[in-house]
Amino acid sequence: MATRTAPLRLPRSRLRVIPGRQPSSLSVRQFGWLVLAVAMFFALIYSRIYLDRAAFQIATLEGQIAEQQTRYDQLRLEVAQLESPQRIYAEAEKMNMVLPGEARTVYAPMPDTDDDGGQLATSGSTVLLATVGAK
Amino acid sequence: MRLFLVGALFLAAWLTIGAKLVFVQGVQAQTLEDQALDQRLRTVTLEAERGTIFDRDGRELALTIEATSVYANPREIADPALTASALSGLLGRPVGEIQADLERDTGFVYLARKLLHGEAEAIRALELDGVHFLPEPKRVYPSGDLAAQVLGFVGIDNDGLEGIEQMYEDVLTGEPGQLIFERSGRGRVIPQGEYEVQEAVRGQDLTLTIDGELQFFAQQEAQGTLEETGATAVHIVVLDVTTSEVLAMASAPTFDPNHIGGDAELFRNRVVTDTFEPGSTQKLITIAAAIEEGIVTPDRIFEVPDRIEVFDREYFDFTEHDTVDLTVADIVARSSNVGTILVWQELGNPLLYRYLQGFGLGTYSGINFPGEAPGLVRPAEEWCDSCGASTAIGYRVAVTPLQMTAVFAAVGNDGVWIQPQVVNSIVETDGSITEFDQQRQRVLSVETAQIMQDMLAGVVEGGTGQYAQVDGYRVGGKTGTTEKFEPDLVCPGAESPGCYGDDVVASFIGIGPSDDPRLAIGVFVDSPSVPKKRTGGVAAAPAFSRVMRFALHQMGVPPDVR
Repeated sequence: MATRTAPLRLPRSRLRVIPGRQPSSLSVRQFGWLVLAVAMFFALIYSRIYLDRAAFQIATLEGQIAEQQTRYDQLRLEVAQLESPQRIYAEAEKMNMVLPGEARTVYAPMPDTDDDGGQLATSGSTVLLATVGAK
Repeated sequence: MRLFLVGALFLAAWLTIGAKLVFVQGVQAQTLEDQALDQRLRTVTLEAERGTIFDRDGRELALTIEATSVYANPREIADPALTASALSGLLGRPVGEIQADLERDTGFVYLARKLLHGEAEAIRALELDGVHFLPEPKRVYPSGDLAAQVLGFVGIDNDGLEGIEQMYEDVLTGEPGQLIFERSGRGRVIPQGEYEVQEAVRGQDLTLTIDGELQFFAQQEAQGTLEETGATAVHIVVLDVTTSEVLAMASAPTFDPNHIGGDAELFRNRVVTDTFEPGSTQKLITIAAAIEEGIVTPDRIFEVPDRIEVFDREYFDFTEHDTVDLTVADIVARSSNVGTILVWQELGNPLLYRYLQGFGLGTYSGINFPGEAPGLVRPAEEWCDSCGASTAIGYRVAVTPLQMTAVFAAVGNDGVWIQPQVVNSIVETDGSITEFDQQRQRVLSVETAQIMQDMLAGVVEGGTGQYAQVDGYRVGGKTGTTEKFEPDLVCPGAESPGCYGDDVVASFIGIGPSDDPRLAIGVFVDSPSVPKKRTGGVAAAPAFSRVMRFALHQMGVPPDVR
C-alpha cells in the first residue's frame, strides 16, 4: 500500500537578502571633529607641560632674585661700611691728611682801600690769608 | 535561588559602595576638599623690611639686610659629634655645646641666627646632612658705634629695644605679608595650585638731624677727654642754634650695637636720660633774666666779697679774694657765685623761676626720646629761704645736658628757644616726607640775647673759659663745676643720708661764632679724677674748642675777619 506523504512545508524564512552596502567613508565634518578632538587632546597636554615649565622657570627666577637680593644687600652694607667716618678717617690718616679742626688760620695785614676796593675789611684790619694744615 | 542570593549580595554591595560614593562625593565633598587643601596649603609670613635710619646727609646708620640662620634637624643627623666638630670653627661655638644641641630629641634646633652671607655660604659648602638654612632679616649698623646711644638697637626678632629703634618702632616696623601656596608631599610647590601673595609693607625710613662726620669727631673728643681727665663719662651735644637740630650727641664710653653685651649702662643715651645740677652754666639764666627785666645792666657795678650769707647758708666764690667791684659782665666772666647771688637778690624768686621755665627747664624737651628725663625745677613758692640763692647759681635744680645746651642755643638764636629735634623726618613708603613741627618761644629780647652773647664771649676772652678759644673764630660760653649730690652719703654731723661728695660734673657750654651764632655745644665731664683737670674751664673747655672748630669748618663758616 502506498502511502502518501504530505508535501514538506518548509518554514518560510523571515530573512531577506538586502543589497550589500558600500563601506561608508568619514564625512568631512566628522573628520574635522576628530582632528579637533585630537588637537585639543595634545593641546591640553602641551598646555600642562608649558605651565609646568613656566612654573619651574618662575621658581628658578625667584631663586635668582633672592640671590641677587642677597648680593644687593651685601653690596649695600659694604657701601655703607665704606662710607663710615671711622674708615674714612683711618684711611685719610694713612695719607697724612688732617681734620679741619687741626688746621691753623693765618692772617695778614690788610692794605687801605677805597670804597670800591672790594676788600673784606676796613683800614687797620687783618684779613684771612689761608687756612693751612698743621700736624 | 542560589543565583538570586548571589545577585542580591552583589546588588547590596554595589548599593553600599554607591551610597558611600554619594556621601563622600556629595554630602562630604566640600568638607573633605577643604581638609585636603589644608594639608597641601602652607602659609608663610613675609617679614616686612625694617625702615632704614639715615643721618642728615643720607648716610645709612641702620639698615636691614637678608641674613641666613642655620638650624638642624637632629633626627636626620647620624653622627652628631662629627657634625658638631665640622661646624664648631665656622660657628665659633664649642664642639660640646653644638653636639648637645644636635643630640636633643627634637626636629628643630637653631645652631646660629642671622649669619652674614659669607659665613653662611662657608657652612653650606660643607653639605652636612640634617643642617638647613633659613633666610631672616638682620639689622646692621655699618658705622659700628657711631651714634650708638642715639640709634639704640633691636633684639633678635628685630624689635626695637633702645633709642630711636625703640621710640619709632611702629614707624620702622612696617606690616608683615603672607604667602599662601600648595605643596606636595615632598614639600615642593605644586604648579598651578593655590598661590596667593600678600606683599609685606616695608617700614618707613627715618632721617635724623645727626651729622655723621661731626658725630664721629664729637665721639673721638668725648673718648679723648675721658682718657685725659680720668672721668667716668663724657657727653658732648652739638645743636644748630637756628633750628635746635641735634647735629651730634656723643657719649663716652660707648658700645657697638652690632654686638650687644656687657654693661647695659652704656646703652642709655645719658644726654637726655640723666640729670645733674648745672652749677655755674645756669648763671646765664639768672643774669639774662635780670637784664631782660631791666633790673641790672651789663655795666652796673656790684661790690662783691668772696662769701655771702643767705639765711642759714653761706656761699663762697671758687677762689678767695678781697671785696672787689665787679660789673655784671665781670661777674659772668669770673663766674662769681657771690656776685650772681647779689643780682638774684634784686631779681627775686618768682622771676627767676619764670625764666627757668621759659628756657625749658623742668619739662620734657620734646625731643621724643625713650627714657627722657624732664629734670626738676620746683615751683618758686616751694623754695626754702636760701633755695633761691642756690638756684641762682645752678643748684637745687636738675637738668639734662640737652636741656642746658638748648638754653645756650636760645641765647645764640637771639632769644628764641626752640624744641630740640633729633629725628628730622619720616620718609613714607611712597617717598613722601613727613616733617615735625617744633615748639618755639621767645624767652629774651634780641637786645638782651646779644648782650648775653657778648658776655659769653668775655668769659672765653678773659674769664674762666679761655681754653675754649677757637683759632680764627670769636666764640663765647660759660664754665660750670658742680659738686655731685650723693643720695647715700651722710654729711659729717648729719643724721640722714644725702650730701655733696668729692666728685664733680665739669662742664662748658658755648656758642659760636659770637657775632652770628650758628652752633651751641655742650661738653659735660662726669667725675673727672685727674688733679687739676676737675673744673669746667680745664676739663671741658678744650674739647669744646676742638669740636666747635671742626664743626664750623665742616659747615663752611669762614673764619672771622679781625
